[in-house]
Amino acid sequence: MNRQGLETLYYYNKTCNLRCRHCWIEPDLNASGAGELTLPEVKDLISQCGELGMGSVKLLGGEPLLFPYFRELISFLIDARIKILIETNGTLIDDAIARQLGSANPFVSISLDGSNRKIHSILRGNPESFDKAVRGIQKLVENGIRPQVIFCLHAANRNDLDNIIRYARDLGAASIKINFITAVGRARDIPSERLSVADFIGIYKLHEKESYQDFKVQFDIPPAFHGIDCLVKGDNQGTCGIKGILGVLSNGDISICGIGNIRKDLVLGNVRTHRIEPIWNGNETLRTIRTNVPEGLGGICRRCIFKASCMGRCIANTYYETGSLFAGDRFCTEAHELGLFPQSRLL
Amino acid sequence: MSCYALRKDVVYRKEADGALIYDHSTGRVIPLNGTAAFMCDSLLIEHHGVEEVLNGIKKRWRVSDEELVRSDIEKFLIGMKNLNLIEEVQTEEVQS
Repeated sequence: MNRQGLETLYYYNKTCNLRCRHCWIEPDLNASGAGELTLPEVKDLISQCGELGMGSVKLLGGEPLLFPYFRELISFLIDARIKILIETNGTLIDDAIARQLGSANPFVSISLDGSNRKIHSILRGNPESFDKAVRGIQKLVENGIRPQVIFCLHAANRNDLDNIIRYARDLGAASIKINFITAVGRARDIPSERLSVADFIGIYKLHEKESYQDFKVQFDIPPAFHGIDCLVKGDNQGTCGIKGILGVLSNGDISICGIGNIRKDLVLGNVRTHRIEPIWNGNETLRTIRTNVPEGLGGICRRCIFKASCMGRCIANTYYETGSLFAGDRFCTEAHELGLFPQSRLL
Repeated sequence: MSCYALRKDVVYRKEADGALIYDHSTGRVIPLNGTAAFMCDSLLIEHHGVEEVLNGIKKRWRVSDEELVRSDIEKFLIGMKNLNLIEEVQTEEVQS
């Protein structure tokens, strides 16, 4: 039997210091950390994953810098020569952390939802978080790391897009990723603030040819919507890589990604009671994903010529919205229903 | 006489600024920019020779180095062969 290699462990902190209204993970605000994995348990988890071929660890949340052992964990990953990826709100990056990360050459993404305090805090709810995130970016840049800025596009910040692109460049970021807010987690409760699929596609089309030397503008949009130029350059083709990912929450719950935090039926076990290898190689949900992605994808994905690279975009999101991992991506489905899906990309 | 054509199970889609080739067997999509799409049309669908394709390119785009373009056409064909997207067919077969 061909075994799927584990490429990246996604390790999620279930707590956060912000309470953003569009967060899909719904982490606890400043939770006590009781019941969370200890550093030795995390090290053991990483060692087990290493035996399955894992080459990188992505730390996310919630807020990964709230791990009480964050710096020790980074040291462990550096010593183990494991590639580090971090998705953070940036507010807790101090000089010591920036210096340490500078020696690790990680890929760091920091959320900035506006080019000023007022716009940034519309969904994030904390005006100070803008200044702190900006300081975090500056500290990373001072230490040789050019982070990616993640900008969640919504109705109230859409007119700030040009400003944030300029601002992110000026701060020294390497790229900006513009995210579509899906109706998952807390974002379900802000329907009028989320952008429609049609608006997001329209804004993407206005910016898709925007390019700068040494700075990338990337939209989180399925490759079926990318223009030929973009496809030829190979830009903007971020896909999930779901088959090579395992998600672990800071309470030890194992899932396909962070979805286990909000869909308990996608919790596959817990690192305190299960070894990783039997789950990775034998769990029925993971086996079904390997069998069905991409060939068993349904809906619009079944007919899409990009299904092998896109892999259904985000099957966790599809599961959340439809109860099936393989029902076909909702963004593309809606675009197709609106007549906005490029017909030349369908079989 | 033989020439090259896209494999029968390969999907070719023209778009305003280029084209896409979808290989069913691998699931891979190969994007072609405007010039590559023109080469694909001329060489693999209309079955023109390299010189005819070169002349077609000269009519549409400004060409300062013919040798470079000729070499690009040949490289395009080699690339398509390496990707196993084309097959050799008899000219009579194409005409019928």
